[in-house]
Amino acid sequence: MSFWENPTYAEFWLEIARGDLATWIQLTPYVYAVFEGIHLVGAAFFFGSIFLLDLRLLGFAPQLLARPAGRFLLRIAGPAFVLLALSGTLLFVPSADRYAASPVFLLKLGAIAAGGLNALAFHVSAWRRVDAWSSRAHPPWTVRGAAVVSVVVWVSVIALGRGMGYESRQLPPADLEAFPAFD
Amino acid sequence: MLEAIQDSALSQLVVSDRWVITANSKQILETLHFTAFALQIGAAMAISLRLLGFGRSVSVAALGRPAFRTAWLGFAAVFVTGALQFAPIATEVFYRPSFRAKLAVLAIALITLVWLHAHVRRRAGAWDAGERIHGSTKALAALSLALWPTVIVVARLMYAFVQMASR
Repeated sequence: MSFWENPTYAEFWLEIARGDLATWIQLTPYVYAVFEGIHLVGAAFFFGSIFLLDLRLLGFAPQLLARPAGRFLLRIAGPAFVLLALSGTLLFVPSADRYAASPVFLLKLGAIAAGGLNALAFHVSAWRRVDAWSSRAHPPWTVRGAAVVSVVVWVSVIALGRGMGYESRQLPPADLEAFPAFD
Repeated sequence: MLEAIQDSALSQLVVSDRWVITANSKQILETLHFTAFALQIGAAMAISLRLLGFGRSVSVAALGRPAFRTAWLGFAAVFVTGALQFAPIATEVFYRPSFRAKLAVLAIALITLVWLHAHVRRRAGAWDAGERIHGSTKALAALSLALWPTVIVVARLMYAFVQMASR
C-alpha cells in the first residue's frame, strides 16, 4: 500500500480540505484565481533570476562577474521562493486531500527538493571558490553541470505544476459570478 | 477576420487529436507559455531591480545584455504560444473585456520595457563608470516592476472567465 492510501494520512488532509480556510478560498469569488496569479508572479521572479544566473554559469554573458551577479540574483530568488511557498500552500489547502494523493503533486515536491539539493551542493562547493572563476568566461565543468541540472529541474517543476492544474481541482460554482461588469 | 483565424488550418490543427502533440496541445502550449513568460518577466524584473538601486556591484551593461535578450526571446515564445491558444477560441475571446484588459496592460508594459531598454543601451556605460541613474529611468523601472506582475494577475483572471464561459 502506498503511503497516500493510508487512512490516517488521507483523513488528515481531508480535514484540512474541509476546514474554514479551504472553504473561504473556495467560495470567495476571485480569491483562488488571484492566489494563482500571485503564485505565477513568484514563479517569474524565481525562475527568471535563477535562469539568468544559470546562463552566466554556463559561460554566456562572460562580461558579467559571477560573484556580484550571483549574490544579486539569489537575493531575488530567495524572497520569490518564500512567496511561492506561501501562495502554493494556500492553493494546496482547498484540494489538500486530492493533491496529497496525487502522483503529479508528489513528483513536483520531489523535483523541488532535487532543485534545492542541487543549489545547496553548488553553494557549499563551487560557490565557495567563486573568486577563482568569477571573471572567467567558462567556469569549471562542475559549475556548468549544476547550471544544466538547475534549468532542467526548474522547467520540470513548471511543467508538473501546470499538470497539477488539470488533474485535481474542481472549480467552485460560486467563483467569478460576483463581478459581471468585468466580463 | 476572427472567423478566418478560428477556421484556419493552423487553428484546426491545434485542436485536432490527430497526433499526440496536438491532442495534448492545451497542456503543452500552456506549459511553454508559462515557462516563456517566467523567463521573460523574471529577466525584466531583475534588470528593473538593478536600475532601482539593488545590487549596485553588478555592471548594468553586463547584466542588461543577457537580461534583455532573455526577455525579448522569451516574449517571442510567449507571443507564439499565446497566439496558438487564441486562434481556436478567437471569436469567443476577442470581445471579452477581460481579454482586452489583458492586452491593454500588456501593451503598456511592453512600451515601458522597450523604452527602458533604450535608456539602458544609451547610458549603461556611463552608469557603470559612476554616473547616477536618472530619475526618469528609475520611474520606468518602477513602472515595469509594477506592470509585469499585473499582466500575470490580469491574464490569470481572464483565463478564469474564459473557463467559466466554456462550461
